[in-house]
Amino acid sequence: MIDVIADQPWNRGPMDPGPIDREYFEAAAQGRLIIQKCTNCGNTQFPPKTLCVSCGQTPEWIETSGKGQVHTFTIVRRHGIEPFSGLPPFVLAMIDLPEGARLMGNVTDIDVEDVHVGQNVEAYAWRINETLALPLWRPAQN
Amino acid sequence: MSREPVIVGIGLSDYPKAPHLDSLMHISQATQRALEDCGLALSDIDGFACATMPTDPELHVEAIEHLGLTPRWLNTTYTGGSAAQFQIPDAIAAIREGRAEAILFAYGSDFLSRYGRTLGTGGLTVEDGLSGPLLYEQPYGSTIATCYALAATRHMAEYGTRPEQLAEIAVGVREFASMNPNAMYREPLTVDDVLASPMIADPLHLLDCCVVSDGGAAFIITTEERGKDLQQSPIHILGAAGANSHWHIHSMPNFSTTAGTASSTEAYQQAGVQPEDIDTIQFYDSFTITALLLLEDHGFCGKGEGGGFVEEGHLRKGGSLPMNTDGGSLSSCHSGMRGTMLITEAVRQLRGHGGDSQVPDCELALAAGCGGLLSYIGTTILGRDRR
Repeated sequence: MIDVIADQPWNRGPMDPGPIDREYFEAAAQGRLIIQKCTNCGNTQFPPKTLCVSCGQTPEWIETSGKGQVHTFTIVRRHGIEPFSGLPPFVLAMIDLPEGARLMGNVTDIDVEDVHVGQNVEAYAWRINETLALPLWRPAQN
Repeated sequence: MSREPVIVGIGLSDYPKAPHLDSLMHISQATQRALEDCGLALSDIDGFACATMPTDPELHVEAIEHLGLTPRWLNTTYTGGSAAQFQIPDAIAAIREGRAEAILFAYGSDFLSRYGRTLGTGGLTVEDGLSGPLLYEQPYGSTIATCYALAATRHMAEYGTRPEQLAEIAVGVREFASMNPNAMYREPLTVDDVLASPMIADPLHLLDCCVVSDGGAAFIITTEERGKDLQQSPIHILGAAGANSHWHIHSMPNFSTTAGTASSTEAYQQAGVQPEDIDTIQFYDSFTITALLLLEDHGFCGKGEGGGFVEEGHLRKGGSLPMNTDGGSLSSCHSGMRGTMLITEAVRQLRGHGGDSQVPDCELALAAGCGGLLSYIGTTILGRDRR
């Protein structure tokens, strides 16, 4: 399970995910970080799709540990669009999951200068509304 | 009668700042200049290739109407900045098979005049609810610059590439820009200048990022036979291929390697040449890291060796592989999609019309377009002679 926080009001714009995407953000709101795994060939993939890009069969959702590692990142210093324009510096990263997928996210709760490739992080979710939440990352607790 | 494809006419519209032109006027002005350059008439054009940005979604059909064309052959494949490189293979086939006699490639945009300079750090504004693949990056504040920064950080972590090495790319391109009276920025740069410019998205500084400009370009492909009696020496298209690996940056399979490895392998094979045979490269340089990855993925040095290769000065004037001899998009002109301009500059060099920036004994040029976010890479090899 991952923490779901609601102490900050959602301000990153309206989200209207389609049917398959909705399942991901709904799971996050329930404290679960999920990715797809193909029961036929074992391929894991993200973002979710109707078919497995490896074998063409229909994949299923699996729940991950919520642990990850920074694959690459950048410290965003300039942003031209609200609400991000007031945020810099902030960290945008690609996170490798041990289960096999790679996700984009922000790494928060850390001095931006301390983020590094290979860093262990853990997921949490930011509540968007009653049903949806956005996964984010912060340094692993242990 | 040889129906092998040659490029006979090239033209650029007014740049880098042209508030007196809209996108269609850029296209028609560049077309007029390309026709004038080779001596073909507008009525000779029976094929048309044009790609459109999301900001000008109907540009291709509007351009056809604007120019009064009724093309027998049409290609509007959109792959971002490499669109021309992805359209050329089909144009070659159409010329060889007699489906077209003279194909006009054209692109133009009033990007700077219409949108200002926030493209790289802006991104899209969603009025209605966000949906589709952007759900997985836009809520995190992803911009065009951050996408390339993610690749640069990974390349540095894997291979020890340094910011000074990326900066050297910008310095070399600026040196060529100083020889182009139309280039947006012409003052000489040093590595220290690049490193001292404001950080946009680590490790990319302001001067690691391309300019935003207005501009357009056109070129005309016809048969070798038809090209013989036109005004300019025809330039031969020897190899052309494209390859992709993803579209959005969140799906890039390998952050330090592009599909240029595949597109270049096929293009070299068609042309029957090796990287060491190439005299000049015209590379998409949306960011310094873009050019570095293309350099490695086209085999000019080994994977991970791009930083050291660049530091040796090969890409400079007088180097073994002068790059972006018009000042590139880092210093001269970037109006959204630069694939057509890579071709016009390669042709200018192969004709020997490069002026101060002319590459000596220039027989083979390689143009590599990069579309999307390091996603669609297209390679075109051009030669002064058929081999």
